[in-house]
Amino acid sequence: MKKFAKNALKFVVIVFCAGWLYTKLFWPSTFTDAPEILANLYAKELCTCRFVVGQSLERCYENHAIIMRPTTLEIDEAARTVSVRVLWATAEAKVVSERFGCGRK
Amino acid sequence: MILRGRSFAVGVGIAVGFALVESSVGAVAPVYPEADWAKGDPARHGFDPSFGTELDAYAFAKDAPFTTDGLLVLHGGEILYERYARDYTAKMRHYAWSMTKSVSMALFGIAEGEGKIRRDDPISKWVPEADAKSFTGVTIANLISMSTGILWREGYEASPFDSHVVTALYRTRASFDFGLYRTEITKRVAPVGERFNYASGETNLMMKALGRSLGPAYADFPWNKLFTPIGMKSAVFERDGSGNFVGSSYLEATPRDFARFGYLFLRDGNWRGKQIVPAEWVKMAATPSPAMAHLRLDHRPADSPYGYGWWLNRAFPRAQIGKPFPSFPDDMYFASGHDGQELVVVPSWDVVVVRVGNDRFGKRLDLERIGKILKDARAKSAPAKGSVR
Repeated sequence: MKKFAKNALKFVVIVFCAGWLYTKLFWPSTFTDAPEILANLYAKELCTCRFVVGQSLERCYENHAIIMRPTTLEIDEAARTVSVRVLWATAEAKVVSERFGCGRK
Repeated sequence: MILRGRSFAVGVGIAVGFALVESSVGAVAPVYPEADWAKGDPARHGFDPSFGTELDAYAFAKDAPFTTDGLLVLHGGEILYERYARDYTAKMRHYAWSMTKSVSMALFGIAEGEGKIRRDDPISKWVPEADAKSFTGVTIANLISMSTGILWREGYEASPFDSHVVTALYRTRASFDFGLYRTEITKRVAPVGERFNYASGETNLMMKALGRSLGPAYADFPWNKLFTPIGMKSAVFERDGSGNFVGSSYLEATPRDFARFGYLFLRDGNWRGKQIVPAEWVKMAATPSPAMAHLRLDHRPADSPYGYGWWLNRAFPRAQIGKPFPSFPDDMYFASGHDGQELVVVPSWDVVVVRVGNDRFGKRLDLERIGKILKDARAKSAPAKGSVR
C-alpha cells in the first residue's frame, strides 16, 4: 500500500512536470500566465462591479466568474480596494477617482 | 402706386405668416431630456401598448438562455418602455464593454472637428513607436474601421489563452499601456484597408494618438466635450496604467445615459442646437467602411457589417451576408458590447434602444426579436390624434 502511494505520488509529479514543460514550450504564454491574468481580471472587474456599478459581491462573481475563483479575496469597502490571490499570483485594484473608476495598483 | 406697395407688403406679410405656421407644424422641434427623460404614452407615440408585455415576455423570460439586466426603448425623445432585473435599477451604472468603441469614435470625431487630429493622419505621426514597416500606410481611419490588416486575435472567455485582448487587459505588463501593446503585434495578414478584423487593439491605439494630440486636455476631454454637454452624469471612463482611456471597453454608465449618447446620434450629433459631434461623423458611423467593399466569403466578419465604430444593418450579397436584423430598417445601426450590451439607433423610426445584460458564453439576446416586436407594435397601432410618430 505504501509502495502504491509512493508510485502514485511519483506519477502525479511526473505528469505535473511534463504538463508544465509542455505548456511552457508549446502553449501561448498566456496559458502559463493564467494565474496572473485571473488575479488581474478579478481585481479589476470585481473593483468596478462593486464600487462603480454598485452590485453585490455575489452578483459580481456571477458576472465575472471564469475558470476558477480566487484563492483569497479581500475587499476593503472603506478604502474601495480589492486584493486578490490566484494560486501564486496576486493583484490589487482600487477606485482611482469618481471619473476614472478602478485601476490596478 | 402706394396702394400697390401696401398690397405687396400685406401679401409678403401673409406669405411669411403662412410659412412660419407651416414650419412650426411640419418641423417639430426635437425633444431633449431635462435632468431626466420624460416618460411617453406608447399609444400617443403610435405604438401598440401591448408591445411592453411582449418585450417583457421575450427579454426577461425566466427560461431564456440570456440574461437581461435592463431594457429601454426611446421614441421621439421620450421613454416608452423601461425595465430592470437582477437587482439593477435605473440609477445604477452598467458595463458598456465594446459599446465604448462607439463613444471613442465620437470623441475622435469631436477632436477632428476642432482641428486637433485628422482621421487621414498616419498612426506613426502620433505614435512613432508603431513599427514603421508593419504600420506603414495605416491611418487612424483604418484603426477606427478595423482594417489595418495587422494580426489581432479578439477572444474572451471561449479562448482566453490565445487572445490579444485578454493579454492586453489583464497581463500585468501589457495592461499598463494597451495602445503601445498593440504596436508590438506586427504580423501583416492583409493589405491595409482591405480586411475587416474586429480588434480592440485598434481602438486603444487610436485613443493613444488622440491623447497625444490633445496633451493635458485629454484627461477631461470626454467630460468637457461629450458627457457633460449631453448630461451623461453617470459616465465613468477607466484608464490603463499609462493614463490612456481604455476606449475599447471600459466605459460604465446608466442605461438612461447610454440612451443620451444614442439620442445624440439620432439627432445628427446635435444637442439642443449645439453641434456636439460633427454631423459628418454621425453620417460616417452608419456608412460601410471601405473595407466592406472587399468582403469575401473567406474573411467575412463574424457578426454584422461594420462602419466607423458602429455595426450596420446592411446585407452584403457578395459575401453572402444577409441583412442581420430584417425587422429593423436598413438605416438602423448599433453599438455592441461583450455579454450582450446593445445601443440601437433607428433614424427612420426615431427610436433608440438600450439593452444591457450578462449574456455569457455566446448565448445572446436576439436583436431581431426586439426589432420584430417594435415593428409589429408600430404596424398595429394607427397614429393617434396628437401623435408624435
